[in-house]
Amino acid sequence: MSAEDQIKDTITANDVVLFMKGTKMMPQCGFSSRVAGVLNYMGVEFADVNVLADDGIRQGIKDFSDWPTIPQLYVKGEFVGGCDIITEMTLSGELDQLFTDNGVSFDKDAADKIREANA
Amino acid sequence: MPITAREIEDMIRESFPDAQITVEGDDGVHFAAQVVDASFSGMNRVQQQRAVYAALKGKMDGSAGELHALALTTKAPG
Repeated sequence: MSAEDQIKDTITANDVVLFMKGTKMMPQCGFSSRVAGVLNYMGVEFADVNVLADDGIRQGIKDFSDWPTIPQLYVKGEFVGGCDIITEMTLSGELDQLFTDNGVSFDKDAADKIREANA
Repeated sequence: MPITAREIEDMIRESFPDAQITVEGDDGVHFAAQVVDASFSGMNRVQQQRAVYAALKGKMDGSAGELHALALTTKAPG
């Protein structure tokens, strides 16, 4: 299967997917760690894909989204953004809205705590 | 050779001549850039940041890229 088909399968089969360096339990880059940390803290169920484990996926995901950096977050098959965008959306509450709109369950209190801590 | 904040600013400036651009970071590896440009109005953040990445012409690309760590903030003025 081509990298593109693997990517499409993954983001179709899972509501929330994070392409990252390392795994959600053991991130290997500060940017990946930050996004995985937010999702973990908010109690969001997500699939993690370690791009360091597969060079085809590592390049393939960049071509797929026309986005040159990792991490990349996908919700319901749509590319949402990288670390900076996810951070901004977390703090503004837009990420909560996106999850709500897409029926993705998350811990609203935890999200509020992140915002309080960064206010 | 490590890239400098000034070089990053110049590259962005080439594509966004009228933008308000701030690039911080002096360790040659980690940078933070803010780009405020009128052309961003009506674009979502993904589109805005794609345009900035395009201006950086592959510098962000993977292990071969000179620029691993660039925190990017983009917005339209006002």
